[in-house]
Amino acid sequence: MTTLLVLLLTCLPSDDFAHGVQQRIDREAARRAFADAAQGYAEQWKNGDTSASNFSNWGRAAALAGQRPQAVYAFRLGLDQYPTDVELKRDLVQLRELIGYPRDVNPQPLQAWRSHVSEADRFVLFVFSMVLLLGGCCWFCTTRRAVAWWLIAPGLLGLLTVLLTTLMIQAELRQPVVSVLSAPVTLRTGNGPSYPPRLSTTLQPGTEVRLLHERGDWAQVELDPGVVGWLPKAAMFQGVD
Amino acid sequence: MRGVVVLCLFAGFATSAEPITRVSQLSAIDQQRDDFYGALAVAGKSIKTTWTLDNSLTTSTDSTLTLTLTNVLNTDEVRAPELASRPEFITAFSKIESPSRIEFDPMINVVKIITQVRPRNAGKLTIPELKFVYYLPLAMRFQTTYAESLTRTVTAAVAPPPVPLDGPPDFFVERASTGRAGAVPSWLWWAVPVVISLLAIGIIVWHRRAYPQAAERARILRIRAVWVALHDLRRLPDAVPAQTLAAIWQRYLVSRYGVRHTANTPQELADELSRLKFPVHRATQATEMIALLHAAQFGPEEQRVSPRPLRQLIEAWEGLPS
Repeated sequence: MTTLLVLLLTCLPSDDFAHGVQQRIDREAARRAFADAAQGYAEQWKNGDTSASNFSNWGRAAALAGQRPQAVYAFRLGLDQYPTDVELKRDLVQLRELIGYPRDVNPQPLQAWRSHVSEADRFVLFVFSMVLLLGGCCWFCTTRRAVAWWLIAPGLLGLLTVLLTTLMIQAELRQPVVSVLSAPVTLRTGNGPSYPPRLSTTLQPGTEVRLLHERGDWAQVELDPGVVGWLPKAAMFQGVD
Repeated sequence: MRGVVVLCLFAGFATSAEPITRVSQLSAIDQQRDDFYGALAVAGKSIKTTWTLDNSLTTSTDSTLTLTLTNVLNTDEVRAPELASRPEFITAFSKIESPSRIEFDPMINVVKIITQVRPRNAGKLTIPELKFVYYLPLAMRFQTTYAESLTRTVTAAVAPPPVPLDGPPDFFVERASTGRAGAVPSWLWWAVPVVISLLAIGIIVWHRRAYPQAAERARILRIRAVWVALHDLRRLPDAVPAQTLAAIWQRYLVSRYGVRHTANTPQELADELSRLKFPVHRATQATEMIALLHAAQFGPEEQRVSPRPLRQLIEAWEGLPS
């Protein structure tokens, strides 16, 4: 029983992560440790650990292990559940700098509204606005004092803000899904290798693209707003098994 | 018939007498003789075979092993021995290039068979002796020679200095455990306004029952003329110009009771209220109020008056608790 417990403890991804940090002076050894850690965090995610820290650590370990597509995938998964998480956003930005995008091409923007206004923020504002609005109405009904409008007006403004923010977020959620490239690939103007390249440089693994259409083994993607091209579907990261 | 046989024998003699210069002139069996790599010796000379190997050897780097053949007649036909399949070489080397590269110079009759090898172990390394069979064209027979074994010292591989892993500093820090996502249940979005609305209605109902006068006051204040007049009066300081109060009073009478705008003086107001069949005591109060205000406004010295009497008058008329 003790042996089993020790074995379980030694398999924790945190230990692999710490081991990787210790082995940092030796790149190969550190990468092996971080790869084990990334695999461990992925297993934890599959077993139901959907905390922001698990996504962060998974992405960081994968990035340090040289598995950049998987790292972007992990950060993206995390931001999908925690759109306003500051550390996840910062990690993704730092990783994008390592990946290197073609000149004059910006990475896929994060969902602006969703990444700045959380559902909890909107709910708190909603409750606060409702209290102001109905409190002001209540006051006005009982006293007919004009000062009650100083409560009613902010309440209405707050509710309007919540409504507009929700509409913007819903619009962002309707945008196409972002995929991650798993291999260096040339973005082409058509769905075949005979078409000329769309960009002068090759897209690197880990580059995020927005999937627009699929035709056969090729996918039409949008790299940056306005930069649209085709690439083989096989070059897209298929997720973690 | 006899002539043809003699001719054939003569032809055969003539062929065998001609010296062999190409491997293809040997019989097929001879060409497949063991350790024969297709080398023919220059007339009157024997082929010399020599191993050459770098002096400094390590187990981590490749070295060049050269087998040099001299006095070779057909330099372009010589084949390389398959070192990679020989057990003694496999034991000695962890890596053997295959096939070997061949360089030859027909002008000086030299062939070099060059093979990249990597010693397997550190310590003493012996290049095995190599049996080499060649053909002597003039003697019309095969000859065997040996490339003598060679001994070298191999040093252990020096591990390359480790390269540190680079990356953003933040990535080397494991993030502390955080809680899971706390999504707001959709039903809560509906429950909150319902609860707050019910609470507000409850407060209003309770207030009406607890304070009936306040309820009556609220009911009367729904009349816009009353509400505006009292609202304006409440905002005024303790002493204001009389014309301000006169304007409020006249606006109240106009909007509340339909008094004409032209009824400005006390007499005009009295006539108008009489026309409207206003109760006498109220008409008197209204006329006295406007007279009081005009007196303050148009007197020898302009006086500032308090809005309180006017407010009390309106509240009294509307039956509002003061």
